[in-house]
Amino acid sequence: MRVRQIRDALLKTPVGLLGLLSLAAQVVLSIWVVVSYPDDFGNRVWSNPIHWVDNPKAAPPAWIRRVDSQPRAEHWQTVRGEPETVEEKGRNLIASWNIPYIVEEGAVPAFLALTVRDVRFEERAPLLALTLIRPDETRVSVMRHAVRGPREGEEGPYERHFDDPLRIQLSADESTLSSLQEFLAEEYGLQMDAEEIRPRVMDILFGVPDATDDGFVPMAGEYTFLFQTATRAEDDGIGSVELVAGGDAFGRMGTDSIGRDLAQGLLYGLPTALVIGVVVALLSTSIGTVLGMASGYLGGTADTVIQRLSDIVANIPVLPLLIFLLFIIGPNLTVIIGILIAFSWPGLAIQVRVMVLHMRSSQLIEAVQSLGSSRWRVMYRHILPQIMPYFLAQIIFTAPSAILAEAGLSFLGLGDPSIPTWGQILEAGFRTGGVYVGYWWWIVPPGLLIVLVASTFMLLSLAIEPVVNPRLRQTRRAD
Amino acid sequence: MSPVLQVRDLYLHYADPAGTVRAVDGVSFELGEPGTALGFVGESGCGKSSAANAMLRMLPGNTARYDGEVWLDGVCVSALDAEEFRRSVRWRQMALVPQGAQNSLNPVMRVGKWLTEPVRQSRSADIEPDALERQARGLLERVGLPSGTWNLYPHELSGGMKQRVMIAGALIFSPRLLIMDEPTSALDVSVQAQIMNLLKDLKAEGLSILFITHDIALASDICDRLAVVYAGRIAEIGSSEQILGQPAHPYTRRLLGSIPRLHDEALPEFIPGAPPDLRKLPSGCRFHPRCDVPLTVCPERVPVRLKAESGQDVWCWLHDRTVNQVALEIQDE
Amino acid sequence: MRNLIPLAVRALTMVGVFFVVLLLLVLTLGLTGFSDRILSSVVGEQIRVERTTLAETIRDPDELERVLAARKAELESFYGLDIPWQRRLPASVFRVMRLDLGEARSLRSFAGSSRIADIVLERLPNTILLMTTSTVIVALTGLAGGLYVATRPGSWIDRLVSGLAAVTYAIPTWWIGILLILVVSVHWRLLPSGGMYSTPPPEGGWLRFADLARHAVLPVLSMVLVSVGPYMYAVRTITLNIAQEDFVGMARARGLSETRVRNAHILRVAAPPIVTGLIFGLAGSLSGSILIETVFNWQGMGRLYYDALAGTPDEGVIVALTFMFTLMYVAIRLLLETLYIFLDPRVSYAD
Ligand SMILES: Nc1ncnc2c1ncn2[C@@H]1O[C@H](COP(=O)(O)OP(=O)(O)OP(=O)(O)O)[C@@H](O)[C@H]1O
Ligand code: SF4
Ligand SMILES: [Mg+2]
Repeated sequence: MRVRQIRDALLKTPVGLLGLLSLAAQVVLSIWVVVSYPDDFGNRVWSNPIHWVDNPKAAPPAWIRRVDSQPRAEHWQTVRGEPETVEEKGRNLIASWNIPYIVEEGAVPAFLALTVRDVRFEERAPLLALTLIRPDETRVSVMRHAVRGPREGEEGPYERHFDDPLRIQLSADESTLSSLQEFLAEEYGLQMDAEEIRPRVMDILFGVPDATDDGFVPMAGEYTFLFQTATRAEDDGIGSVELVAGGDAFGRMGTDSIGRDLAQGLLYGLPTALVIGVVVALLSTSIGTVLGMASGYLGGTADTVIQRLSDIVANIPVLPLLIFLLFIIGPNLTVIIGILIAFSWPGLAIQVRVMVLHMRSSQLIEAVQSLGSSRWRVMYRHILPQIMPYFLAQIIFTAPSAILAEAGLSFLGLGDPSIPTWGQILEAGFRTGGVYVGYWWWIVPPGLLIVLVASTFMLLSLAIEPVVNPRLRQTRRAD
Repeated sequence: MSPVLQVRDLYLHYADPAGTVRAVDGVSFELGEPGTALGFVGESGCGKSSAANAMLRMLPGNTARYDGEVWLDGVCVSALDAEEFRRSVRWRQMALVPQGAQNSLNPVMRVGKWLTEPVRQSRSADIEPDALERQARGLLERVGLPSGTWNLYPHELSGGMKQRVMIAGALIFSPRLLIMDEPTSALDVSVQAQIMNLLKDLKAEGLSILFITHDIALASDICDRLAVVYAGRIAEIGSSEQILGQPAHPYTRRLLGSIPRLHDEALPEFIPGAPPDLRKLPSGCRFHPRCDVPLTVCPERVPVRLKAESGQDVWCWLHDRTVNQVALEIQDE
Repeated sequence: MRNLIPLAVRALTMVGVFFVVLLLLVLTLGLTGFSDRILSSVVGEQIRVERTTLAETIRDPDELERVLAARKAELESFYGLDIPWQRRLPASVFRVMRLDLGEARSLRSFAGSSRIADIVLERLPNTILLMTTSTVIVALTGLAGGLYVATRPGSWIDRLVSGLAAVTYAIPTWWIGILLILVVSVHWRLLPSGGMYSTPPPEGGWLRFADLARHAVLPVLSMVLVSVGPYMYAVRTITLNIAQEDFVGMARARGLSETRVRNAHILRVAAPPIVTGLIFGLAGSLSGSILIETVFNWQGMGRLYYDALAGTPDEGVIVALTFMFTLMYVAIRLLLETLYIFLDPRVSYAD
């Protein structure tokens, strides 16, 4: 029985074992991803730019800091809830948060953003302020903001920024510019206009003017962000304050040009790739087997029709047609899978038919049939088991090509936007020019993952090849 | 006059991961006058095809040992270098119809082209294309094939037809010696008989034949002399009458006993024990583990060539009056 | 003569392929209402243009609307919008088959024409150039390498080729292309990362050719890298299998020289399956070239797909390209099949 041989080839050869282990690891990881990722990850998270605003754009992975010597700020993000101190000042209550932040030698962060959530007040809207206390004790008032007061006809208590957090990109904020202008004039006697300051907000915040030219030298050391709110009533206040200092390096896999955490997208691609490979392989192989068996067994017109059809479908140049169909029907993973299935079955159908014809004329089958077994029973009991090994081999062989096909379509921009795949990540990297500026962390990993998954299946098929196709084994001529 | 073929101490060993395969292990024999046939008989795997290949210097890549002398009409052709041997001996003087002739025709070459190819390719043969074609067509007719065969491809021929094409092909240079390796094993009985008749005719015309088969009865039908081969060596060689009538080697006797006979009540005897593994040969006489009358010397000393009473050469200690004729205790296993 | 029957059968199959693709095109365009949408938008666009010109001559707004409505009905019947797509599309199929492919929405040919036929035909040679160059290189190196490796089965180089073949089945061609850009063009700055000519293109035949060749290196290399391993492996396996056949040993026994044995017996018999290998590789190289042209901005029909898909999609161009690619594929297939049938006398349609 050849199915057992296949099992042995997979379990007892190093190649087969390696393939199986790698596949098992991928399946386990996929299950974890499916369970732990939010529903509708594609639409709500991945393709939603708001979700990624606080990430640095096109940042290489964090571990790069250990590889190259270039100074890079690590991505820094912190959220605080309850204030540290609350003191009364006149009619106001001043709540303060002291948030320390360390700048390493030469590593000025790429941007600074403040997010405040869940502001509540009885009568008067709170005032928010952020001050940066620098290692040399100088203080920069970075921001002042008045929360929007009561609207006409509105009744207190008022709630602000519960669903739409107040996010201020400090490194690009107009009020920050003017505070900096003031700061420079007072502290260093420097007169700079807003347009001069705009591109170097971060350099100014985290550096001191350079005496020799009009640049700024980064100042390393311990900084403190002092965040304060001024409120009137006891129950007024904010839910949380978040500060982000954008790094030049981010996470395990870096980010793309809109700040998406590539590690998340890459992980999410795994179950998708496996599903595409397995579903296409399983269904197309089943169709091929059934049609091949029917063709070989029924003979006559059915045979002719099935064979002609297989022949034609097998010879259609698939990619152009796939592009066309997806373009017209719209990019949708189910459609992609459906079309791939529709074009992958003929090879097996032709092969199975030949095998069935061969077996049907064998003496065993003739004997069984003459004993009065029904056609379908003979097929099911005697022919199907012999076809099984080819069935399995074909599944293993079809899976990687389905994965590659989807990747290629995604790369052409025909991927399903609600389900991120590796092909789509590559497409984004290519379309936005990431390739030409050398964003390797955006380009290399998705491709490698495609290769990894596809070659897992290749390993499996390499392992079972001698069983399924013994003629290719190096045999001595036997005479 | 020197014999048509003389083979002396022919060896052909193959390298194999599990040990050296001693397929031809010191074989000497001769084929005397033209128009006679020598049968080479032995069990499957005993090295018959290897011996034929060795004579034609058809050596596979894993040849571990190859030596010995082959003399044709008194000329030592083994002394020729490879190129010279190919040009002047192969197919010209010594042609082979191999085992598995079914697959020995080039599937994309028409029969006529295939037949004449060696002549067209040879530099020395200067024969007009027309004359060549006439000759080759004559051969096809001679082996009993319709003239339309000339334009056919192998897949259009039946097994018997292919075998005939192979024989015609082997005759294209009118060689002195024709080696036929299991020429009939894949054919049905009637075709087999036709081929045997053809061979007899050819023999009558003066062709010498080395007839390789596992079927001693078939061999005796055509051969004047028989050589019984066991595990890479000749066990016994003599005229067909001697071998069949008074077999001298215990193996030959067993072999003859295993032929089913018409009108014979006795069931054929089978030779007990497995054919030997050519990589791990028994010491002394190779046949001793299966022999029913072994002597004490048999496991120790390799038998030398002896004359049997009936006149044939035999390699068995039973025929040596000088050795101690004490039977070996057969240990029960 | 007997070769003609299987050839005719193959030809019929390929014609079948061609018509099935056409049918699929028509059905999807029709069933999804896509064709109606395209034509309506064409009509709408034309009416909009005419409204501005007519507005200068016809002052009365009601009169203008009436004229325009009449004009619209006229246009709709001209484009066949007033009859169901099942009846309209066959006509457009015939138009497509006559290469009367209509006008592109925003894409233009290099010479500035908006006729789709012009755009596509102008790109055709570029695609053919890329495909044939890489196919010829793959065929030659694959053949030479495969035959060489076949003389050394089991050696390290043999194992290397087998490994390479297995690995490259798992690598997307286009990703190799991107990697090459990343390393060779961006990092090392050795070769251009895309396009076919420098801007401005150099003057003079030879310089121009050298410039083209420089631009072609990476795309061709990507296509070759991915296909050469499998092809070499196929050639090796086919040759090795045939070298083991009885008739090859027989050819030697018949006193033929090694050269003759190799050429007339091994290679001649290996030729048909090797051609089959090329046939199967073809579909791959067609898809490969679509993606590779995209990656390297090679101005061929494949890149045109990408351009037509990006931004506001140009549906006419996409239909035309799908048609052209199918046509090309069918033509090359037929060519190779013809070759195959004349190489292998065993082909017969008995089964
Ligand atoms: N190239 C080779 N390498 C290793 N062993 C070989 C090789 N060729 C043949 N053998 C082995 O040598 C032995 C003799 O083979 P050979 O074909 O000569 O036997 P034979 O007598 O012709 O058998 P048969 O009647 O089955 O044809 C067999 O055991 C065979 O397996
Ligand atoms: S030599 Fe001894 S073992 Fe060998 S055949 Fe003769 S008697 Fe038997
Ligand atoms: Mg043999």
